[in-house]
Amino acid sequence: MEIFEYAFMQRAFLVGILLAMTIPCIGIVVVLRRLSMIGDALSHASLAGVALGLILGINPVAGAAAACILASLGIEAIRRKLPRYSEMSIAIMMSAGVGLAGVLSGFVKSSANFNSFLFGSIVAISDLEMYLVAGVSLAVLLMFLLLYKELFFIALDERSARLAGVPVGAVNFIFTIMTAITVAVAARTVGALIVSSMMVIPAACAMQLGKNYRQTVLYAVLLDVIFMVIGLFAAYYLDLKPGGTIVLISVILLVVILAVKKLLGLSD
Amino acid sequence: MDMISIDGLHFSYGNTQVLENVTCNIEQGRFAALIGDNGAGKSTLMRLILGELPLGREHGEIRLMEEDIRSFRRWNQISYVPQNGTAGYRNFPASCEEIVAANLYSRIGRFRLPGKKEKEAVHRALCEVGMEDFKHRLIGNLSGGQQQRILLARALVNEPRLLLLDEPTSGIDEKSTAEFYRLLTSLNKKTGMTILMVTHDRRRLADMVDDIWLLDDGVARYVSPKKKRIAPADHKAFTGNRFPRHPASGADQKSGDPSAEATQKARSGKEETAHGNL
Repeated sequence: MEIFEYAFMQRAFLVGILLAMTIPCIGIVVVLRRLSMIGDALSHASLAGVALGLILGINPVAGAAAACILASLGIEAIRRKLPRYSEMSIAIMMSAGVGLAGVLSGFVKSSANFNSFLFGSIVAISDLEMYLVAGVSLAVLLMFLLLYKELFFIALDERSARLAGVPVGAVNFIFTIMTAITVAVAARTVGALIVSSMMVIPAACAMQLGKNYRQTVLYAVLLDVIFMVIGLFAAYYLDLKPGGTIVLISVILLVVILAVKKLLGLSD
Repeated sequence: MDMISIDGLHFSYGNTQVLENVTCNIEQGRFAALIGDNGAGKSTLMRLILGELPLGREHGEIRLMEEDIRSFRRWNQISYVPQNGTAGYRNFPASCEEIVAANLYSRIGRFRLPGKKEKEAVHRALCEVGMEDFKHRLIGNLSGGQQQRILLARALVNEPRLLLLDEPTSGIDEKSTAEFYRLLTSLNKKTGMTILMVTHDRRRLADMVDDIWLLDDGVARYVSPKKKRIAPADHKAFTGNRFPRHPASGADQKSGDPSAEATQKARSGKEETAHGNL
C-alpha cells in the first residue's frame, strides 16, 4: 500500500498503535474513578511544561512530563484533602496549567513548535521521540498488567481495597506517575487538546459493550486501535489533521454504538 | 473477647467536637448496631474504627481484636460493606464474580489472577447470599437489594472475623431490606461472625441485634434491644426524635415532666446494662 511506503507514516502507525493500546488502559481506570477530566487537566499542564522547556532550551517532552507529574501529584493531594469534591482538584490544576502555559507561551520564540503540541504531530515525530513513546508505552502497559487487580479494586471501592491489603497509597502514586508520563508523551504525538478524548471515549464505548471488567478493558484497547488506524488512513487520504480526525472518528463510533443500543432496546 | 473496644474516645474536626468521651465495646460473636441522628458522629466513629483518621494518644483508645488500633495490621480479618452502592455501581463494568473475587486480594497475592480455589470461594460466598445465578451479570444491572447482597458476598468471601456495615440498606425497598437483615442475622448465628452495623433503620433493630449503641451529641449510650417495653426515652430514639440530653446537663430534671423522670430511670438502668456489658 502506498501509505506504508513513507517512513513517517510507518512511524505514525507504530507510535499511534502503541499509544492506542496504552491510553485506554489509563482511561478506563480514570473514568471508573470518576476523574475523566484528569487527562484534560494534565494535558493543559503539559503545555506549561512544553513552554518552559522551549524557553529553557531543554527537551519540551521532558518539560511536559515534569509538569504533568507535578500537576498529577497536586491533583492527588487536593483530592485527598477534599475527597467529596475531588473534581475540584482537576479544575484547579487545569486552570493553573492553562494560566501558566498562557503566560509562558509569550516568551517562546518558536510559536510553531509550541503549537505542534496543541494538536500533535504524529506524522512529524523523530526517531528519538518514537523510541521514547515505545519505551513509555511498553512500561505503562506492563505496569497496568502488574497492577491490574489493584487498580480495579481501588476504582471499585478504595476503602475495601485498603482493608483487603491493597497498598492503596503506593498504587495511587504509581498510577498518577503512569498517567502523567502517558499524557506528556501523547501530547507530543496526538496533541495536548486531544489526548483526554483518547482516554475517555474508548472507555465510554467499551462500557457499552463489555460484560465484565476484563472484556471492557480489552474492548477499550481494541476500539482505540481501530480508531487510530481508521483515523490515520482518513487523515492521509483525505489530507486532514491526524489528531482531530482520530478523535472525530471515535466520537462518531460512540454515537453509533449508543444509537444501535437504543434501537435494539439494550440501553439502560 | 472484645472485637471492638473503645475507651474515652474524643475526636474533633478543628474546633468542632464530634466525639466526646465515647466508651463502648462489642464482644466477639455479637451483632451490634450503631444508631444516631445525622451528624451524631457515626461516620467519624466508623472511619476511626477503620483506621482512616489519625488517632493520637490524647484521643483515647480503640482496640480491635484486643490490639491497639495504632499497631493493628490484621485488616484482612475485617470486611466492610459500604452504603448502598446503587448509584455508585450503576454502569460500573464489572461482573459480580469479579467484584467478589476482588476481596481475595491477599489470598491471591500480587501479580496473579484468581485460580480455581479462589473461584470456588467466590461461588461459595455467592451461594451464601443466594446470588450464585448472578455470577456473570454486570453489577450495574442489578437492583439495589441485589447489589447489597453482592457487596455482602464480597465482604464474606475472605471469611472475616469482624463485619462492618455502613447504612447498608439506605435507598433499598422494604422487602429487600427485610431479606438483607434476615441474611445478616442468620450469618451471625451460623458463623459466629461479629457484626457492627451503622444504620438509621431503628424500627426493626430490637428483634434483630444483640446490642444497640446510640451516639448522641458525640456520646455513646448502650440501649438493650431485648427490653420488652421501650421506655419513653428509648422510644424517642427509635422513632427518630433527638435523644434527651445526658443527665449531667440537668435539662430533663428541670422539666418536671413525668416522662422525663421515666427517661431518667430508664437511662440509669440502661447505663447499668452498658457497664454490665463492659
